[in-house]
Amino acid sequence: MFLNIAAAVVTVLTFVAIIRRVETRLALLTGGLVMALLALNPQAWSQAFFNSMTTAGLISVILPVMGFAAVMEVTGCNRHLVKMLTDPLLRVRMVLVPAAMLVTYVINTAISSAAGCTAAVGVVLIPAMMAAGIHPAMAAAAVFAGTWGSVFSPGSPHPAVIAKIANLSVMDVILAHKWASIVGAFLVAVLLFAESKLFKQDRDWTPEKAGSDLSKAKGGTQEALEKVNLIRAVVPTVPLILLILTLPQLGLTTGFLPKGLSVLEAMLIGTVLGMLITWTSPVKVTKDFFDGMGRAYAGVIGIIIAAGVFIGGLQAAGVIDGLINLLKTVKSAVPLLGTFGPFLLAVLSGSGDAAALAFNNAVTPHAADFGVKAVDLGNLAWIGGALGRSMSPVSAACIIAAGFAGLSPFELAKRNAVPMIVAALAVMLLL
Amino acid sequence: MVMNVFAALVTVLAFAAILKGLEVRLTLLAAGLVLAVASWSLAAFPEAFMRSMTTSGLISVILPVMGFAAVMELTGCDRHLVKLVTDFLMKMRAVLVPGAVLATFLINIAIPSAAGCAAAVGIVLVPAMIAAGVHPAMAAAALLAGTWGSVFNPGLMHNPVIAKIAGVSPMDVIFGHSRASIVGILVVAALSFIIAKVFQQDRGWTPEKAGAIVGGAGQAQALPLERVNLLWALIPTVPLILLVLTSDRLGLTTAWLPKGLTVLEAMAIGTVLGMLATWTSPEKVTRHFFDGMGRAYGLVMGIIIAAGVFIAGLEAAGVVKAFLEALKATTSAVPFIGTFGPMLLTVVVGSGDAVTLAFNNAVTPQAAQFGLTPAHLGSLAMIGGALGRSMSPVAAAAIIAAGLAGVNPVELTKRNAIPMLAAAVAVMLILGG
Repeated sequence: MFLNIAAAVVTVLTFVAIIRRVETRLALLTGGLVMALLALNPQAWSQAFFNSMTTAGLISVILPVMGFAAVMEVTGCNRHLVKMLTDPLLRVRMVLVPAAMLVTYVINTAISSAAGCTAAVGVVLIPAMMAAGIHPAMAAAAVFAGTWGSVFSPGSPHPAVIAKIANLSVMDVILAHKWASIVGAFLVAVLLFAESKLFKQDRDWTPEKAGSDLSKAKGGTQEALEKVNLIRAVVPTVPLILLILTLPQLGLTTGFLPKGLSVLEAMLIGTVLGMLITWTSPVKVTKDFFDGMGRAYAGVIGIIIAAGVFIGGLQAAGVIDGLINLLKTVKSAVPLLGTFGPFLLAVLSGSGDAAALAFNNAVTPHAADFGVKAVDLGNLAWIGGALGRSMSPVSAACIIAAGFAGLSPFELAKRNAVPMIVAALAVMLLL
Repeated sequence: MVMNVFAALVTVLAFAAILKGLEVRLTLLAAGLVLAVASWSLAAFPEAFMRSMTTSGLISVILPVMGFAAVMELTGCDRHLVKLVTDFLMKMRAVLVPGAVLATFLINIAIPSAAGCAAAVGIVLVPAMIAAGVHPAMAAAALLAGTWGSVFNPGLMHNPVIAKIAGVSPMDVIFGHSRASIVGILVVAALSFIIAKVFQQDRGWTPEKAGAIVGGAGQAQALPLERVNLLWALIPTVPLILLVLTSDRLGLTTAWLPKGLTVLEAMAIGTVLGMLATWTSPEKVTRHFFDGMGRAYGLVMGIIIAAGVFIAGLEAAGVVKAFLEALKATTSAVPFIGTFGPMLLTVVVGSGDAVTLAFNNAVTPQAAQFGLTPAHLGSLAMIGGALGRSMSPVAAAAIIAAGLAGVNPVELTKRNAIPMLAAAVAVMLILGG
């Protein structure tokens, strides 16, 4: 009993600390350590650390994706992709706001970091939209609202974690939520469109009128691209396309396309293609690829390790079983909790990763007991966290987008709140 | 046959390219790819990549060590240690290199993993030696040269295997080869000493002068320290001390000290102690610890992945198997083949375990036919493999040592080749004579 109360207190304190913007990994590691010590089982801590840091399924998926992403950045392929997709956009003024959101969403599937994608797309789109007379905050909000397209990226920690729990492949996990996520994206687009019409945000605004301070706005640090190189623009999407084409379910695989390409293989192929097409030095590509893997280990796997250690502490304290039993009595509330728990924490802390990973590690393995499929419950937590982040004023992506518009991040959060909450409800009902 | 010649050619070219200074990871990956394509088993490439990138034994050892090293750098503890020991090292600088070889050898008996030992000892010894003016590559080479002390550890897989074949106890196997191994390590230490002297590697070097990439782990420059804080200076050695003290074999573990602390645990304890002792912000420590792990993944694991891919290419080409078959078919000059066969192959593939095991299982039971005891022949193969690893540029221990010094692993091979070959001859003459 004492342990249960202590664990509850530690859990609350840990998440309060994350909301107060204490380094996420530190908060989770410390919370886990305190619980392991209280349970007089410090080795539960190091055991969980060890297990998480060496989980093959996570390492072999996340790191190659991030290595490939680093290569795409350096070879400039990312910029071609962004320009290819944003150029035609500016010709459709009527639906510019929802279209900008959807294009960002699509680009975010290839450039999966929310902050990185916002920076790459925002630098092009936000000034252009402002020039077209759209309220700066609305322009930035539209881009920011698309930054949960990463739910289609295999490089996120979540599909790998969910895949392990549900015993599926990473691509299966992603495909399991495709309809919900696509419907969610269109809902967001439609609601943004309605908002921009209703509040007259889509014409006749100038930055001065909107009171935006562009002196601090980041200008285009990279020189503008003259022309889009179509081949280069396609390269960042090659691995994802290969992964989808070689899905065993599609039955498209022939002697030429091997069946069920692994994520690693797809990324290696993409990297080599990018190297050949942009004729970049292999030495540089090798370095960037491994640097990208290393950075992903420190950042992405780092959070997974910390979340794993935290759950290890909860387990050592013996509260997981109690929690599951408690949840069994309120079965129907589990999907709600799974979606809006990470959602809320993401809004408050700027990232739903910690909450979604914790929820998935602790609760999702028991999904069957609540009458839900593990993959669906896991996806709910993941998408819930991603949607919450897309309206969080403290997320890095929001701050970057707001910087382009020269406004406070809260202006963006205000505009995205309704679309994101509605999308979360829709996704929950669909899954 | 054609395949074997081709594979040998690719191997030589790859090693030559690395010596020429081509990016190590790229060269090994490319060589592995060429071999995999030539032997028509393309899948061997991603398979080996996948296997190497998720080797939990290496990840769980290398990354925490490098994370800890980054924290020591952040807190400045490493500089205090370096300053503390530098004066002492300067006084005995004449014998610094052989001293490091012997110290590592002794510690390797207690921490029998070559990679783990290189990491735990190297984090203390390599920066200190570099600060004392030893060439970074020589410092790392001395460390690597000592990483076969594990032949004295009864827990090392080969000792029980040989014991079983010979029908004796593992300790008997160890006593059987103890004289030869001691002579061997003394030969290594003496020759390292001579190489350091002859090539003037033991004084007056700075990392810049040697072209080492600083900023890896434990580079001890920056601000000169006023005076040494003894407590801070001790922190970098805490994990090593903990690992040795809790080693199963020492029997020192009590209820208070848990038995057989893992490297991860030792490093985590060291990190927390360092944080408390220097009163550094936990946020900073966390960030640096994980950044250090990430950097180590990109660099050190990167080379290990590339080496794994290369070795898989060799295997796909059938070279390793052909070599083993040839070894097993040996009838003449058994002590010679038994020592240098495993040694040579280990130099190329970086781990002697597979070769030594294969040889011991296939040939050693028939030792009597060649006028040898099984214990001796088995020990020859084990020590041959271990010596080969200590001069292999693709061994995990070499990659770690080179990473700590910021140099190319091949630089270590150049310095260790003669001592290891001479030690192998000495061991062979004593055990096989």
